[in-house]
Amino acid sequence: MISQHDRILRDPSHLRLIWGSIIIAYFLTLLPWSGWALIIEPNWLLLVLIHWWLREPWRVGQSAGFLGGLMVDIAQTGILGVSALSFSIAGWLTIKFRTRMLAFSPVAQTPQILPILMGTRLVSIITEWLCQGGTPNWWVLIGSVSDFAVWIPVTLLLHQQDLRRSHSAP
Amino acid sequence: MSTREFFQRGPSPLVRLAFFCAFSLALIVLDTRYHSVGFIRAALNILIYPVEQAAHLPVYLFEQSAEFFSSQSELRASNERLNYQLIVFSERAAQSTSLEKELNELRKLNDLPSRSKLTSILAEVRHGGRNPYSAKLVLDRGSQAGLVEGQPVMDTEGLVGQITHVSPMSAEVTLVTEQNQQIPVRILRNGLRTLSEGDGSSGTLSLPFLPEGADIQTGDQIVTSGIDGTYPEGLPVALVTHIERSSSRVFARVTCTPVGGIGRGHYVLVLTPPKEVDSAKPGSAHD
Repeated sequence: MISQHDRILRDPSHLRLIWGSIIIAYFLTLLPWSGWALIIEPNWLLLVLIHWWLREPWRVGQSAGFLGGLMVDIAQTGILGVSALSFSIAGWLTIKFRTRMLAFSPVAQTPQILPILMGTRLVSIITEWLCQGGTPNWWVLIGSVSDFAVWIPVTLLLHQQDLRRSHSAP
Repeated sequence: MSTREFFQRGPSPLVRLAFFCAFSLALIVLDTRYHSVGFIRAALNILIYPVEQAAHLPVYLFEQSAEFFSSQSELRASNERLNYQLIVFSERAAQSTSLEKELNELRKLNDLPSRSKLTSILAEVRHGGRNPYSAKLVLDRGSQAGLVEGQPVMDTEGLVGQITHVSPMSAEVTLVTEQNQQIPVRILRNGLRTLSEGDGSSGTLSLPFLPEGADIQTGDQIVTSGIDGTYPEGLPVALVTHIERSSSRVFARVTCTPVGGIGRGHYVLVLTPPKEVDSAKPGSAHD
Protein backbone atom coordinates (compact mmCIF):
# COMPACT_ATOMS: atom_id res chain seq x y z
CA MET A 1 0.00 0.00 0.00
CA ILE A 2 1.36 3.43 -0.97
CA SER A 3 1.37 5.98 1.83
CA GLN A 4 0.20 9.58 1.41
CA HIS A 5 3.82 10.74 1.73
CA ASP A 6 4.98 8.41 -1.05
CA ARG A 7 2.15 9.61 -3.27
CA ILE A 8 3.31 13.18 -2.83
CA LEU A 9 6.89 12.18 -3.56
CA ARG A 10 5.87 10.36 -6.73
CA ASP A 11 3.67 13.23 -7.81
CA PRO A 12 5.19 14.64 -11.01
CA SER A 13 4.38 18.20 -9.91
CA HIS A 14 6.57 17.68 -6.82
CA LEU A 15 9.46 16.53 -9.00
CA ARG A 16 8.82 19.47 -11.28
CA LEU A 17 9.11 21.81 -8.29
CA ILE A 18 12.49 20.30 -7.28
CA TRP A 19 13.93 20.38 -10.80
CA GLY A 20 12.33 23.75 -11.61
CA SER A 21 13.81 25.39 -8.52
CA ILE A 22 17.26 23.95 -9.23
CA ILE A 23 17.17 25.13 -12.86
CA ILE A 24 15.97 28.63 -11.86
CA ALA A 25 18.74 28.85 -9.25
CA TYR A 26 21.32 27.85 -11.87
CA PHE A 27 19.81 30.35 -14.32
CA LEU A 28 20.33 33.10 -11.72
CA THR A 29 23.95 31.96 -11.31
CA LEU A 30 24.43 32.31 -15.07
CA LEU A 31 23.35 35.97 -15.20
CA PRO A 32 26.27 38.18 -16.24
CA TRP A 33 27.36 39.16 -12.71
CA SER A 34 30.44 41.37 -12.52
CA GLY A 35 32.37 43.66 -10.16
CA TRP A 36 30.84 44.13 -6.72
CA ALA A 37 27.67 42.31 -7.74
CA LEU A 38 29.84 39.23 -8.08
CA ILE A 39 31.04 39.55 -4.48
CA ILE A 40 27.57 40.02 -3.02
CA GLU A 41 25.87 37.51 -5.32
CA PRO A 42 24.12 34.85 -3.23
CA ASN A 43 24.99 31.21 -3.77
CA TRP A 44 21.60 30.62 -5.46
CA LEU A 45 22.09 26.97 -6.25
CA LEU A 46 23.46 26.15 -2.80
CA LEU A 47 20.46 27.78 -1.09
CA VAL A 48 18.00 25.72 -3.13
CA LEU A 49 20.05 22.55 -2.60
CA ILE A 50 20.14 23.15 1.17
CA HIS A 51 16.36 23.52 1.16
CA TRP A 52 15.93 20.16 -0.60
CA TRP A 53 18.66 18.46 1.45
CA LEU A 54 16.65 19.38 4.55
CA ARG A 55 13.33 18.19 3.18
CA GLU A 56 14.07 15.61 0.50
CA PRO A 57 17.50 14.04 1.14
CA TRP A 58 16.36 10.80 -0.53
CA ARG A 59 15.61 12.71 -3.75
CA VAL A 60 18.31 15.38 -3.68
CA GLY A 61 21.37 13.71 -2.18
CA GLN A 62 25.03 14.45 -1.75
CA SER A 63 25.71 13.65 -5.41
CA ALA A 64 23.48 16.62 -6.32
CA GLY A 65 25.83 18.79 -4.25
CA PHE A 66 28.87 17.54 -6.10
CA LEU A 67 27.28 17.90 -9.54
CA GLY A 68 25.75 21.28 -8.66
CA GLY A 69 29.15 22.51 -7.48
CA LEU A 70 30.73 21.29 -10.70
CA MET A 71 28.16 23.22 -12.73
CA VAL A 72 28.84 26.35 -10.64
CA ASP A 73 32.57 25.95 -11.36
CA ILE A 74 31.76 25.85 -15.06
CA ALA A 75 29.47 28.90 -14.77
CA GLN A 76 32.15 30.83 -12.87
CA THR A 77 34.96 29.76 -15.21
CA GLY A 78 36.83 28.76 -12.08
CA ILE A 79 39.07 25.85 -11.15
CA LEU A 80 37.10 22.67 -11.76
CA GLY A 81 36.31 21.01 -8.42
CA VAL A 82 36.46 23.98 -6.01
CA SER A 83 32.71 24.50 -5.66
CA ALA A 84 32.14 20.76 -6.09
CA LEU A 85 34.26 20.23 -2.95
CA SER A 86 32.60 22.98 -0.90
CA PHE A 87 29.06 21.97 -1.98
CA SER A 88 29.80 18.30 -1.13
CA ILE A 89 30.83 19.34 2.39
CA ALA A 90 27.75 21.58 2.71
CA GLY A 91 25.55 18.66 1.62
CA TRP A 92 27.04 16.33 4.19
CA LEU A 93 26.69 18.89 7.00
CA THR A 94 23.07 19.70 6.10
CA ILE A 95 22.03 16.06 5.86
CA LYS A 96 23.87 15.26 9.12
CA PHE A 97 22.06 17.97 11.09
CA ARG A 98 18.76 17.95 9.20
CA THR A 99 16.73 16.17 11.90
CA ARG A 100 17.76 18.78 14.46
CA MET A 101 17.15 21.67 12.07
CA LEU A 102 13.74 20.41 10.98
CA ALA A 103 12.59 20.71 14.59
CA PHE A 104 12.60 24.47 13.99
CA SER A 105 10.45 26.61 11.72
CA PRO A 106 12.01 27.66 8.37
CA VAL A 107 12.84 31.12 9.79
CA ALA A 108 14.28 29.71 13.03
CA GLN A 109 16.51 27.37 10.98
CA THR A 110 18.37 30.37 9.55
CA PRO A 111 20.97 30.84 12.34
CA GLN A 112 21.88 27.16 11.95
CA ILE A 113 22.16 27.45 8.17
CA LEU A 114 24.48 30.48 8.34
CA PRO A 115 27.57 28.52 9.54
CA ILE A 116 27.06 26.09 6.64
CA LEU A 117 26.78 28.96 4.14
CA MET A 118 29.87 30.68 5.56
CA GLY A 119 31.77 27.40 5.78
CA THR A 120 31.07 26.70 2.10
CA ARG A 121 32.53 30.07 1.11
CA LEU A 122 35.48 29.58 3.48
CA VAL A 123 36.33 26.20 1.90
CA SER A 124 36.21 27.83 -1.57
CA ILE A 125 38.42 30.75 -0.48
CA ILE A 126 41.03 28.46 1.11
CA THR A 127 41.05 26.02 -1.84
CA GLU A 128 41.44 28.88 -4.33
CA TRP A 129 44.22 30.36 -2.21
CA LEU A 130 46.07 27.03 -2.01
CA CYS A 131 45.78 26.61 -5.80
CA GLN A 132 46.52 30.18 -6.92
CA GLY A 133 48.75 31.54 -4.16
CA GLY A 134 48.80 35.26 -3.37
CA THR A 135 46.38 36.71 -0.84
CA PRO A 136 43.13 34.89 0.02
CA ASN A 137 40.11 36.79 -1.30
CA TRP A 138 38.28 37.29 2.01
CA TRP A 139 35.81 39.66 0.30
CA VAL A 140 33.96 36.59 -0.92
CA LEU A 141 32.82 36.02 2.69
CA ILE A 142 30.68 39.19 2.39
CA GLY A 143 28.43 37.14 0.12
CA SER A 144 27.36 35.13 3.20
CA VAL A 145 25.29 38.16 4.22
CA SER A 146 23.37 37.99 0.92
CA ASP A 147 23.05 34.22 1.32
CA PHE A 148 21.61 34.85 4.76
CA ALA A 149 19.21 37.52 3.47
CA VAL A 150 18.03 35.46 0.50
CA TRP A 151 17.76 32.17 2.40
CA ILE A 152 14.53 33.13 4.25
CA PRO A 153 12.49 34.14 1.15
CA VAL A 154 13.87 31.18 -0.84
CA THR A 155 13.05 28.54 1.78
CA LEU A 156 9.66 30.10 2.60
CA LEU A 157 8.70 30.28 -1.07
CA LEU A 158 9.73 26.68 -1.77
CA HIS A 159 8.12 25.46 1.46
CA GLN A 160 4.89 27.26 0.60
CA GLN A 161 4.88 25.84 -2.95
CA ASP A 162 5.60 22.40 -1.52
CA LEU A 163 2.69 22.64 0.93
CA ARG A 164 0.35 23.93 -1.78
CA ARG A 165 1.19 20.98 -4.01
CA SER A 166 0.94 18.51 -1.11
CA HIS A 167 -2.57 19.75 -0.32
CA SER A 168 -3.65 19.60 -3.95
CA ALA A 169 -2.20 16.05 -4.38
CA PRO A 170 -4.93 13.38 -4.77
CA MET B 1 6.55 6.37 6.86
CA SER B 2 7.92 4.33 4.01
CA THR B 3 10.81 1.88 4.37
CA ARG B 4 12.84 4.04 2.01
CA GLU B 5 13.06 6.80 4.60
CA PHE B 6 13.46 4.58 7.60
CA PHE B 7 16.31 2.35 6.50
CA GLN B 8 19.18 3.98 4.78
CA ARG B 9 20.58 2.12 1.82
CA GLY B 10 23.95 2.41 0.15
CA PRO B 11 27.13 3.92 1.57
CA SER B 12 26.95 6.12 4.67
CA PRO B 13 26.95 9.94 4.22
CA LEU B 14 30.53 10.09 5.50
CA VAL B 15 31.74 7.56 2.91
CA ARG B 16 29.90 9.51 0.20
CA LEU B 17 31.51 12.73 1.44
CA ALA B 18 34.97 11.12 1.32
CA PHE B 19 34.29 9.89 -2.23
CA PHE B 20 33.08 13.28 -3.50
CA CYS B 21 35.90 15.14 -1.73
CA ALA B 22 38.49 12.81 -3.27
CA PHE B 23 36.86 13.24 -6.70
CA SER B 24 36.81 17.05 -6.31
CA LEU B 25 40.44 17.17 -5.18
CA ALA B 26 41.46 14.97 -8.12
CA LEU B 27 39.68 17.40 -10.48
CA ILE B 28 41.37 20.40 -8.83
CA VAL B 29 44.83 18.81 -9.19
CA LEU B 30 44.17 17.74 -12.80
CA ASP B 31 42.93 21.23 -13.68
CA THR B 32 45.58 23.33 -11.95
CA ARG B 33 48.67 21.15 -12.38
CA TYR B 34 48.10 19.25 -15.61
CA HIS B 35 45.44 21.32 -17.46
CA SER B 36 43.93 18.01 -18.49
CA VAL B 37 40.21 18.49 -17.79
CA GLY B 38 39.59 20.71 -20.79
CA PHE B 39 37.32 18.10 -22.38
CA ILE B 40 35.04 18.02 -19.28
CA ARG B 41 34.90 21.81 -19.28
CA ALA B 42 34.17 21.92 -23.02
CA ALA B 43 31.41 19.27 -22.73
CA LEU B 44 29.72 21.01 -19.78
CA ASN B 45 30.06 24.39 -21.51
CA ILE B 46 28.12 23.02 -24.47
CA LEU B 47 25.49 21.69 -22.05
CA ILE B 48 24.95 25.06 -20.36
CA TYR B 49 25.22 27.11 -23.56
CA PRO B 50 21.44 27.45 -24.21
CA VAL B 51 20.68 28.33 -20.57
CA GLU B 52 23.53 30.83 -20.56
CA GLN B 53 22.26 32.44 -23.76
CA ALA B 54 18.79 32.71 -22.19
CA ALA B 55 20.27 34.24 -19.00
CA HIS B 56 22.12 36.84 -21.05
CA LEU B 57 19.11 37.73 -23.17
CA PRO B 58 17.59 40.33 -20.75
CA VAL B 59 20.92 42.17 -20.45
CA TYR B 60 21.46 41.98 -24.22
CA LEU B 61 17.97 43.37 -24.88
CA PHE B 62 18.55 46.16 -22.36
CA GLU B 63 21.84 47.12 -24.03
CA GLN B 64 20.24 47.01 -27.47
CA SER B 65 17.34 49.20 -26.38
CA ALA B 66 19.74 51.62 -24.66
CA GLU B 67 21.67 51.90 -27.94
CA PHE B 68 18.43 52.39 -29.85
CA PHE B 69 17.37 55.27 -27.62
CA SER B 70 20.77 56.99 -27.59
CA SER B 71 20.36 60.60 -28.60
CA GLN B 72 21.21 62.00 -32.00
CA SER B 73 23.81 64.35 -30.51
CA GLU B 74 25.60 61.37 -28.90
CA LEU B 75 25.60 59.50 -32.20
CA ARG B 76 26.88 62.57 -34.04
CA ALA B 77 29.67 63.06 -31.48
CA SER B 78 30.61 59.40 -31.72
CA ASN B 79 30.58 59.57 -35.52
CA GLU B 80 32.84 62.63 -35.51
CA ARG B 81 35.26 60.94 -33.12
CA LEU B 82 35.38 57.82 -35.27
CA ASN B 83 35.92 59.88 -38.43
CA TYR B 84 38.80 61.70 -36.75
CA GLN B 85 40.30 58.38 -35.62
CA LEU B 86 39.91 57.02 -39.16
CA ILE B 87 41.97 59.89 -40.59
CA VAL B 88 44.68 59.48 -37.92
CA PHE B 89 44.87 55.70 -38.33
CA SER B 90 44.82 55.91 -42.16
CA GLU B 91 47.86 58.15 -42.02
CA ARG B 92 49.57 55.78 -39.55
CA ALA B 93 48.66 52.75 -41.67
CA ALA B 94 50.21 54.38 -44.75
CA GLN B 95 53.37 55.16 -42.77
CA SER B 96 53.43 51.66 -41.33
CA THR B 97 53.12 50.04 -44.78
CA SER B 98 56.01 52.08 -46.13
CA LEU B 99 58.14 51.36 -43.03
CA GLU B 100 57.33 47.67 -43.23
CA LYS B 101 58.39 47.58 -46.87
CA GLU B 102 61.60 49.39 -46.02
CA LEU B 103 62.29 47.03 -43.09
CA ASN B 104 61.73 43.95 -45.23
CA GLU B 105 64.12 45.31 -47.88
CA LEU B 106 66.76 45.99 -45.22
CA ARG B 107 66.23 42.48 -43.79
CA LYS B 108 66.63 41.02 -47.27
CA LEU B 109 69.88 42.96 -47.78
CA ASN B 110 71.20 41.57 -44.51
CA ASP B 111 70.04 38.00 -45.27
CA LEU B 112 67.50 38.05 -42.43
CA PRO B 113 64.13 36.31 -42.83
CA SER B 114 61.28 38.77 -43.38
CA ARG B 115 58.63 39.00 -40.71
CA SER B 116 55.39 37.23 -41.45
CA LYS B 117 52.16 39.11 -40.82
CA LEU B 118 49.91 38.49 -37.84
CA THR B 119 46.48 37.12 -38.49
CA SER B 120 43.63 37.93 -36.14
CA ILE B 121 40.08 36.93 -35.34
CA LEU B 122 37.55 39.47 -34.06
CA ALA B 123 35.55 38.28 -31.05
CA GLU B 124 32.90 39.79 -28.81
CA VAL B 125 33.19 39.73 -25.02
CA ARG B 126 30.19 37.81 -23.66
CA HIS B 127 30.78 38.35 -19.97
CA GLY B 128 33.44 38.92 -17.36
CA GLY B 129 33.78 35.32 -16.24
CA ARG B 130 31.56 35.63 -13.10
CA ASN B 131 34.49 34.54 -10.96
CA PRO B 132 35.12 36.43 -7.72
CA TYR B 133 38.62 34.94 -7.43
CA SER B 134 40.13 35.70 -10.81
CA ALA B 135 39.51 38.26 -13.52
CA LYS B 136 38.64 36.66 -16.85
CA LEU B 137 36.78 37.42 -20.04
CA VAL B 138 34.61 34.96 -21.94
CA LEU B 139 34.51 35.41 -25.71
CA ASP B 140 31.73 34.42 -28.10
CA ARG B 141 34.16 32.52 -30.37
CA GLY B 142 35.71 29.17 -29.67
CA SER B 143 37.51 26.29 -31.33
CA GLN B 144 34.91 26.31 -34.14
CA ALA B 145 36.25 29.75 -35.15
CA GLY B 146 39.82 28.48 -34.99
CA LEU B 147 40.77 29.72 -31.53
CA VAL B 148 43.35 27.70 -29.59
CA GLU B 149 44.77 27.89 -26.08
CA GLY B 150 47.69 30.24 -25.70
CA GLN B 151 46.67 32.89 -28.24
CA PRO B 152 47.17 36.51 -27.13
CA VAL B 153 44.14 38.79 -27.01
CA MET B 154 44.21 42.57 -27.52
CA ASP B 155 41.83 45.47 -27.89
CA THR B 156 42.26 48.91 -29.45
CA GLU B 157 44.51 50.07 -26.59
CA GLY B 158 46.79 47.11 -26.02
CA LEU B 159 47.25 43.58 -24.72
CA VAL B 160 44.31 42.24 -22.70
CA GLY B 161 45.39 38.68 -21.90
CA GLN B 162 45.81 35.15 -23.15
CA ILE B 163 43.32 32.40 -24.04
CA THR B 164 43.48 29.70 -21.39
CA HIS B 165 40.47 27.47 -22.15
CA VAL B 166 38.67 26.87 -25.40
CA SER B 167 35.24 25.33 -25.92
CA PRO B 168 33.61 24.88 -29.33
CA MET B 169 31.56 28.07 -28.96
CA SER B 170 33.42 30.10 -26.34
CA ALA B 171 36.89 30.83 -25.03
CA GLU B 172 38.19 32.05 -21.67
CA VAL B 173 40.77 34.81 -21.54
CA THR B 174 43.01 35.14 -18.49
CA LEU B 175 43.85 38.83 -18.10
CA VAL B 176 47.37 40.26 -17.92
CA THR B 177 46.58 41.51 -14.41
CA GLU B 178 45.83 37.98 -13.18
CA GLN B 179 48.02 36.50 -10.45
CA ASN B 180 50.87 34.35 -11.85
CA GLN B 181 50.30 35.61 -15.40
CA GLN B 182 53.79 36.45 -16.64
CA ILE B 183 54.62 38.18 -19.91
CA PRO B 184 58.05 38.84 -21.42
CA VAL B 185 58.18 42.61 -21.88
CA ARG B 186 60.58 45.44 -22.61
CA ILE B 187 60.62 49.11 -21.74
CA LEU B 188 59.94 51.00 -24.97
CA ARG B 189 62.23 53.94 -24.09
CA ASN B 190 65.45 51.98 -23.62
CA GLY B 191 64.71 48.41 -24.74
CA LEU B 192 65.36 46.94 -21.26
CA ARG B 193 63.89 43.42 -21.20
CA THR B 194 62.16 41.88 -18.20
CA LEU B 195 59.04 39.93 -17.14
CA SER B 196 55.76 41.44 -16.03
CA GLU B 197 53.55 39.71 -13.49
CA GLY B 198 49.88 40.29 -12.70
CA ASP B 199 49.03 41.51 -9.20
CA GLY B 200 45.63 39.81 -9.02
CA SER B 201 42.62 41.60 -7.62
CA SER B 202 44.29 45.04 -7.52
CA GLY B 203 44.09 45.17 -11.33
CA THR B 204 47.74 46.21 -11.78
CA LEU B 205 50.97 44.59 -12.99
CA SER B 206 54.43 44.61 -11.50
CA LEU B 207 57.93 44.17 -12.89
CA PRO B 208 59.40 41.98 -10.14
CA PHE B 209 62.79 41.24 -11.68
CA LEU B 210 64.16 44.73 -12.34
CA PRO B 211 67.32 45.49 -10.34
CA GLU B 212 67.16 48.30 -7.84
CA GLY B 213 69.28 50.61 -10.03
CA ALA B 214 67.54 49.82 -13.33
CA ASP B 215 66.82 52.69 -15.73
CA ILE B 216 63.06 53.03 -15.36
CA GLN B 217 60.86 56.06 -14.88
CA THR B 218 57.24 56.75 -14.07
CA GLY B 219 55.29 57.01 -17.33
CA ASP B 220 57.50 54.53 -19.22
CA GLN B 221 55.60 52.45 -21.70
CA ILE B 222 55.89 48.67 -21.36
CA VAL B 223 55.48 46.60 -24.53
CA THR B 224 55.79 42.88 -25.26
CA SER B 225 59.32 41.80 -26.15
CA GLY B 226 58.17 38.89 -28.31
CA ILE B 227 60.99 36.84 -26.87
CA ASP B 228 58.97 33.70 -26.13
CA GLY B 229 57.05 33.52 -29.41
CA THR B 230 53.70 33.56 -27.57
CA TYR B 231 53.14 37.30 -27.68
CA PRO B 232 54.07 39.21 -30.84
CA GLU B 233 56.63 41.94 -30.35
CA GLY B 234 55.65 45.52 -29.60
CA LEU B 235 52.11 45.18 -28.23
CA PRO B 236 51.45 47.88 -25.60
CA VAL B 237 51.01 46.23 -22.20
CA ALA B 238 51.14 48.86 -19.46
CA LEU B 239 52.39 52.21 -18.21
CA VAL B 240 54.69 52.51 -15.21
CA THR B 241 52.79 54.35 -12.48
CA HIS B 242 54.81 53.82 -9.31
CA ILE B 243 58.44 52.98 -8.53
CA GLU B 244 59.72 52.20 -5.05
CA ARG B 245 63.48 51.86 -4.65
CA SER B 246 65.23 50.80 -1.48
CA SER B 247 68.90 50.03 -0.90
CA SER B 248 67.90 47.13 1.36
CA ARG B 249 66.32 45.27 -1.56
CA VAL B 250 67.86 43.70 -4.64
CA PHE B 251 64.88 44.47 -6.88
CA ALA B 252 62.87 47.65 -7.28
CA ARG B 253 59.10 47.56 -6.75
CA VAL B 254 57.56 48.72 -10.01
CA THR B 255 53.80 48.98 -10.36
CA CYS B 256 52.19 49.41 -13.78
CA THR B 257 48.65 50.09 -14.97
CA PRO B 258 47.50 48.01 -17.95
CA VAL B 259 46.65 49.96 -21.09
CA GLY B 260 44.37 47.26 -22.53
CA GLY B 261 40.73 47.93 -21.71
CA ILE B 262 40.49 45.32 -18.95
CA GLY B 263 36.76 45.04 -18.34
CA ARG B 264 35.88 47.99 -20.59
CA GLY B 265 36.07 46.84 -24.20
CA HIS B 266 33.26 45.08 -25.99
CA TYR B 267 35.27 43.67 -28.89
CA VAL B 268 38.73 42.13 -28.87
CA LEU B 269 41.18 40.73 -31.41
CA VAL B 270 42.56 37.24 -30.95
CA LEU B 271 46.02 37.15 -32.51
CA THR B 272 47.77 34.24 -34.13
CA PRO B 273 51.49 34.82 -33.77
CA PRO B 274 53.61 34.04 -36.84
CA LYS B 275 55.15 31.12 -34.95
CA GLU B 276 53.10 27.98 -34.42
CA VAL B 277 50.94 28.48 -31.33
CA ASP B 278 51.17 24.79 -30.32
CA SER B 279 54.24 25.52 -28.26
CA ALA B 280 52.56 28.49 -26.63
CA LYS B 281 50.28 26.76 -24.17
CA PRO B 282 49.03 28.86 -21.23
CA GLY B 283 51.74 29.55 -18.71
CA SER B 284 54.52 28.68 -21.13
CA ALA B 285 55.73 32.25 -20.89
CA HIS B 286 57.36 31.49 -17.60
CA ASP B 287 58.10 27.79 -18.04
